[in-house]
Amino acid sequence: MATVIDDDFFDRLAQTILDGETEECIRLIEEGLANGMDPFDGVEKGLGEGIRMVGDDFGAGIIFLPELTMAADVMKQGVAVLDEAIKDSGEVRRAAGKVVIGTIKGDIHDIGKSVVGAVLQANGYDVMDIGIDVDIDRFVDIVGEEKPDILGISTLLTLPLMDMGKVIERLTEVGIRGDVKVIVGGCPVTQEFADEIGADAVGFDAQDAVLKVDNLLGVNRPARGAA
Amino acid sequence: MSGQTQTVTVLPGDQLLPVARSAGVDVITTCGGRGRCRSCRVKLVTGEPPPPTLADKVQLGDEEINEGYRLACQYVASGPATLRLAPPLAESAFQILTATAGAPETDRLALDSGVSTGRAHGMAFDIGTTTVVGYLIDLASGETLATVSGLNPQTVYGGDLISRIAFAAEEPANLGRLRSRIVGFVNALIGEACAESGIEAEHLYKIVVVGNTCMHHLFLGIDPTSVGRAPYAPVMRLAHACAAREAGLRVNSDARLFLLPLVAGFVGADTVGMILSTGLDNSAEIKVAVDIGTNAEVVMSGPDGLMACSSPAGPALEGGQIRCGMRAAFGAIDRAHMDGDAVGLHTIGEAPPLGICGSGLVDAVAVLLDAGIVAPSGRMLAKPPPILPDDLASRLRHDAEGVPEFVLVPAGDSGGGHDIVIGQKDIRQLQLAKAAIGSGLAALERIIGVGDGDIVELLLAGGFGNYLNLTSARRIGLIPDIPESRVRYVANAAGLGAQMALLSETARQRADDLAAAVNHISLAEQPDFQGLFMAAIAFPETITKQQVDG
Repeated sequence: MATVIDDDFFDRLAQTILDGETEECIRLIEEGLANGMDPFDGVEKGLGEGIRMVGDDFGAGIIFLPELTMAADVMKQGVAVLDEAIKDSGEVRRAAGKVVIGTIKGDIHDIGKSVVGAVLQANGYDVMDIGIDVDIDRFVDIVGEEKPDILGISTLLTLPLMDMGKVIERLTEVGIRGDVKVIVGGCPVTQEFADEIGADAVGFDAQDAVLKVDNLLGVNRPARGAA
Repeated sequence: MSGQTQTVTVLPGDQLLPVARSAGVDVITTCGGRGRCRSCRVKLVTGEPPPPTLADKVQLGDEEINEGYRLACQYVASGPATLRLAPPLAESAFQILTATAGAPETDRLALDSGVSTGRAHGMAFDIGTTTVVGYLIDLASGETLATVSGLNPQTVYGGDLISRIAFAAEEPANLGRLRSRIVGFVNALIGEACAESGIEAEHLYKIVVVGNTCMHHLFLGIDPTSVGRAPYAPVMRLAHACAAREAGLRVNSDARLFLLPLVAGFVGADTVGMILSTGLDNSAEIKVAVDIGTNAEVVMSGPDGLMACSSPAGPALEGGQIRCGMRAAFGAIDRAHMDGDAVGLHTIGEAPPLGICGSGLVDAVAVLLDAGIVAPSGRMLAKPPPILPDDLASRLRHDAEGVPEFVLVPAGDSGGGHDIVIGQKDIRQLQLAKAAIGSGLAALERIIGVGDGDIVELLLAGGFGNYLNLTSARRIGLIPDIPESRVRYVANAAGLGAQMALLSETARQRADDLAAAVNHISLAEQPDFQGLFMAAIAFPETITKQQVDG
């Protein structure tokens, strides 16, 4: 019996992200593809909607870090399968944008930054995580080499904060500040601080980071139903 | 509460906080005055409140804003006003843990021969980030003649270590400010202890100080900024001895000051004191000592010696970052349990409840887990509610965003006229705290190759452990599910270690040896620490039933 690719089908696909069910997710994708699902719809209406619901629930505290990480992982694996299908059809899924993200020198906090990276990735961004304790020069070099649309700098500590400003200064010095939008984040970062160092935006949590990055790059997402 | 009023002249457009401070009004800013906590809130008694800032809205909510509450750190003066500091600053309002060297102890009478007169006394201090405790001791008999304590007055510059380090780094004069605050306070405690025991400060010949690395550095006037960024290296680690006068202490001019050694940036002399007094350095068995605070230090002994790590538990267990949280002070709900089909609560001082402190939160979440209101994942009402006693069911409701919350005390029964509520985000904060401690312990267990069941003794140190119900602590997974007979509360173990070092040169030597021998484990550098942390976030499904003592 043929599966009908309708809203109900995409809801079920979205639900696998919420439930952290990799196997079910992949099974549904394969079933959908076999029945004529447009892989682009699979990414946007299925997985994308699922991860946005996950983001909302995380913001409200309804789900927590383990579920979020799991959901992001299912998303990643699901997108990989759909990307293959897209490639087979001779097209390319264009990422919403390229993001380089890392924790500034003097800080080795990993989890929050990784969560932000995972959620951005889940929202269709091509994310390159350059790790923790990252030198100012390394941030600048990677912007030159990788030409990302967005540079994300994170810290949970107060003292390394000023080095975030130095990254921006150095980008200006080498003449590539205009090529990249800089978003900063982490517990001690405030809007005033971001303004002071000349960052383009501050992300207060993972979901907020997606919103701000969307805004910076002019990405419009479909209007959302009530949760 | 204190009815003291102080008039401060503030010009329109001036920030309230710096002006108040320069006029000598102490305002607690736990987050360092960045609008990220609610510790500095003030209430307008008269005058027109300034428009609320974004931080006001986030931290206080519409209800409190409408009642005239504002954050002092956000407050820009617009006209004359009378303000009341919302959290009471009076020290007597806080319960501060003190302990005397009454526990069985082998070293007590192994006294130094250095001071031979019959009137030789000394003092041992434990300088904590939040509280400072001092013990005045007769060096000949080992008897404790006075115990004094109070809130660390540096708290006004930031409640936690990181914000205090940031304050020190802000401008060069701040280091001096922090130092003179703490040295002045230690001198005040010396005066108080002398008055209480009838001893003259002139007869104090020896002072021993323990404290975490940051407090240690600030007491000596050493810039602590290296502790504030990875790899969190202390400026000095070895034990330090000097003339007490040199450090600014008002005692006998020949008196000596000893600071016990440090292990690492977040494993300080207080941990060395704890190891000393618990004797973990003499144990080849698997024993664990945990000092639960904003930073929890976990020490484990084993056949290959000692290992220690520090994990950032955050302020939830001290009532911080919890919507209706407060410190373990007068009016705090410190215990909760099911009394038949109803929730039974206890408050400190048997007062009308004002909020909930760490031990109360642990109890309450244990109740919610047992009732099935909170799932092991931490989610409230994940499934349709099980059959609940009426009392529990009537306390459940949804907040404005549709997220469940549990009313511990309805406004009418509270001391502050507000509902005291446990929300979904409070449970998440508690999970972060217990996961930090749990993953620290798990990392040490993995390195040694043992499990929870191998722990022959678990020692809980610090103020929090005193009020903690062990069954609740096991229920939420804050401590491992081991027989409660293996868990022992060791009070202010760091202070006890300082007392031992005061009385015995052998103990001081032991402190030096053990500090050099402790294997410090940096959790962030552990492979798959993130995995250990994630695994420690969930609450246990069930725990072993145990015989509960009387």
